[in-house]
Amino acid sequence: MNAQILSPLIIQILNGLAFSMLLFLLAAGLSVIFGMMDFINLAHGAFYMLGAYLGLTATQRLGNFWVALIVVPIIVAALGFALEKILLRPLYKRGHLDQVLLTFGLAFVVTDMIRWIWGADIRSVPQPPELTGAIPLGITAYPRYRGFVIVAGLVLAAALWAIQARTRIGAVIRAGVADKEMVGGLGINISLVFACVFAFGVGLAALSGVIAGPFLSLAPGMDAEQLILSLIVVVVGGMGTLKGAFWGSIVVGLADTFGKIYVPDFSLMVIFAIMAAILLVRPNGLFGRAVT
Amino acid sequence: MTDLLRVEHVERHFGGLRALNGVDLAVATRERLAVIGPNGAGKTTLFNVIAGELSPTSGRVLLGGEDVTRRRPDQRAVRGLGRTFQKNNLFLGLSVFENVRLAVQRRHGVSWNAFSPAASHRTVMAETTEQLDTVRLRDRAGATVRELSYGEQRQLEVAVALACRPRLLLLDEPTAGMSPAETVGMIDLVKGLPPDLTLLIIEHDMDVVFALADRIVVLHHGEVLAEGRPEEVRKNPRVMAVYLGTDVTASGLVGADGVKLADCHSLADLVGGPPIEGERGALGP
Amino acid sequence: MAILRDRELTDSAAVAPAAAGAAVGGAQTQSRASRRSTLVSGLTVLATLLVFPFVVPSVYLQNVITEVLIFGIFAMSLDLLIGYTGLVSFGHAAFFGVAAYTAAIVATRYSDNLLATLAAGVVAAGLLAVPTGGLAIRSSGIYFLMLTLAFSQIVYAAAWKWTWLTGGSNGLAGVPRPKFGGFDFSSPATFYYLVLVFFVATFLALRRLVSSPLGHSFIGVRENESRMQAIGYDVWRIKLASFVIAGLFGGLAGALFSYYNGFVSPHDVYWSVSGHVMIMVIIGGAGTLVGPVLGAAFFLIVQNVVSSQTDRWPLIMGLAFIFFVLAARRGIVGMYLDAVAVARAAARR
Repeated sequence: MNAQILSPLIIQILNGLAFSMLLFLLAAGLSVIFGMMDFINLAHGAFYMLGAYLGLTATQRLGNFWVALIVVPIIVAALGFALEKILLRPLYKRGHLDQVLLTFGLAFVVTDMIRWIWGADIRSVPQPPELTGAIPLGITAYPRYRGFVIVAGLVLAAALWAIQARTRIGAVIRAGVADKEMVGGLGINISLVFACVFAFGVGLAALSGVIAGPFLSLAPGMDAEQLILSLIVVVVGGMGTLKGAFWGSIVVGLADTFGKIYVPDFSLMVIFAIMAAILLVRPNGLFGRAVT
Repeated sequence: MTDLLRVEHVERHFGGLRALNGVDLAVATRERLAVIGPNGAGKTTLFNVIAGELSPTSGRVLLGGEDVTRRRPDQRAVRGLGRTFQKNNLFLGLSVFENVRLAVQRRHGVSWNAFSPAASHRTVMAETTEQLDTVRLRDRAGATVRELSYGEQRQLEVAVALACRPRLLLLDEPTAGMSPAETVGMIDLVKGLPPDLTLLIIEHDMDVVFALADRIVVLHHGEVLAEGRPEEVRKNPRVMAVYLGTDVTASGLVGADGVKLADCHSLADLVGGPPIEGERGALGP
Repeated sequence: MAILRDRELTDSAAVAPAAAGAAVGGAQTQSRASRRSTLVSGLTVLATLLVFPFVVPSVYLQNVITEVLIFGIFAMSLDLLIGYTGLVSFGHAAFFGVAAYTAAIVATRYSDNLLATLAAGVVAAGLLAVPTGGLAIRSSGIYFLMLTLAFSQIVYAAAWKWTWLTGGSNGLAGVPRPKFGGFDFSSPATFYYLVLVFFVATFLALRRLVSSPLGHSFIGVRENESRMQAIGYDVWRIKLASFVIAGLFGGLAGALFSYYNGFVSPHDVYWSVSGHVMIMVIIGGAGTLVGPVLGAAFFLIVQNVVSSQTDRWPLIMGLAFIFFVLAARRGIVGMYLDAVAVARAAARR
């Protein structure tokens, strides 16, 4: 194959991967919350959106994207911690459906507050000066910022894996996903763990939002679009597993990117068809455990 | 005599664990068979394979001569297999009457009727009331399951299964968690069941087993260790060894300190277990 | 509103004792007095709805109530799934939307006959419900929710992309009000009566359904699937029946909506529509038929009032919904029943 065919293909694969990494951060948060707390956080897209808009403001005010990248996820995580304590805590004794419904209501509140504060116009975050331009890749070149997204995503995936596999916190979370009563029995404050997990999950969503800022544009509706895709990711990959979130993101990110190029009229359908097909063969997703 | 239920060389593996390792079992029509065995012997797995909740790794299950190994639980129920559950498995938000009526209306084939009120099906209504009479729950008909005592819930558990008019009734620890008085009541209830109903009982409480069963099968490590009439099984040295280790008292299945076998989940219980009442209290609702 | 009291087999423990009180022996034999008061309140509500266009000449208000009735049908149909069968669907807009599009296509291209357009819409919704329901109910819980969402988003994508059929992002405009024989339902009042007829028919049909043996089978599945299997029910078929019936009535609402609005767009199939109708069901009170209608009324009337004052409707709706989930999970109907119970207890003392 010559470079003329190859280079657009490489670029599209890289674009797909960059998008996959954004999805991965979102889906990892969704998945860990589900794994630990057994409910789907339908406000996850709203926290992603909040991360993106706060990232915009922080970058503009502080003039530094990198500070925003650190500070914004922490702010959103703190918000998540508080919301878990105030709103979700009273619902522990009820079914998980109530928690899902509550986060659905929360999504309306958060997204409308964002629209109130930032307006409905399409906004974009300036790329950090260090990451403008392109990286030469021999036969072609690739935008530096997107390259950064891929690398950052892979690094974060590795870090998450290390936290899960190598640290005490990770061990508690793994144990909690497998058997909640056991964690309670170990003398660990389970409700604190829940609040921290929820905070961590929405913090990841916000991180995904900040990173997405200079790459995608900011507009009302971005939350729903990304939420649905990340829900598909966790369903395809399997609920409650990091591995599932990772490979699910790759599948969905690439399918979305290539679907938009080759069958633009049917790209959404391609993704849903892939999801339906995977669920028919593996009802709990690629790496999922049985859900009761 | 024809066997109503045949279990033919059933194996069931969970990963590397062989929960059932080639079990053969036959229950004759009108027979009352009890399956006993220590915890982990495979009783529950066997029960689930018979009822259709689990499919066996190999082997066959025949109901009335028909191979039902690949049939779903509801298909077996339609073919005359009724069951109760070890943990009460009722329609919690519904009334006692409604619990039983769901079973009765299914058997009368009116479950798909969407156009007439359920209360207008007089035969279903009458039979439901009658069924509640047989388990002495008629005066509780309007109460929801949540309002019942634990013992009443166990009775309802049986009533719902009976309302399907099964040929074969599987009773999964019918007296589990009951007080001694409630246990006596349950024994009376089961004894009073129509004689043409075939019973397969899993039970921990030996008093119950000896009061109800014509024949006993002892399961151990997923295999049939012994079978025979109650008095034969009671005297079988291999059975006693399994239950009591080597420390067998000649008086039968009662441990040296008077702890009944039924309440022993392991040898440790026999040696230093809590008193029976205490243990039941912990199990209670 | 004694109509609320007439609920058999539909409520969880909190309400059931009161309902079961009079029911020794034949749990459902309602007292004659209760039956009569149900009938009286039902007829009162019906009479009010019948004279409404004469008493209130405002076209705006007639339209609002028409919309409430249409969404009342839609919400009742979803409640058959959520409240009665225990299947939390997040894609009910698919049936609404498909019927709306089908009715609109038939009406704009072939015939504006009421029966032709309505039948086409409802049949299309049913035809969609059979395969999607058949697949979705293989899963349960959150996976069921996801699959129904996915199917409805596929319909959304189709509505968006199949421009030759659906008009794409422009939608289908100029959907006429239907005609039937010599009747023309183009004035707000006549159209209101047309919708009212379908609303009353739907309410009565679903009321009969939920008190029928099949309806009780739905409730049995909601309460305990494994026990239903053990007593010989094919749970998959019962769920499918519920799904398809819900789809058909959802389709009826969609077809009526396309005449009402005169315009159908991909937005009508979007997941937010599924979310809104679910909010109506929860706010009104799941597991009852009156609840979803009250929920629809609350939602649409408050939306109309709030939207005229401020742009912050989603925020207010979200907060209201959170309030109901946290503090009044049994919805408006539950609040009413609680209030009645408190009043009775106070009277007794």
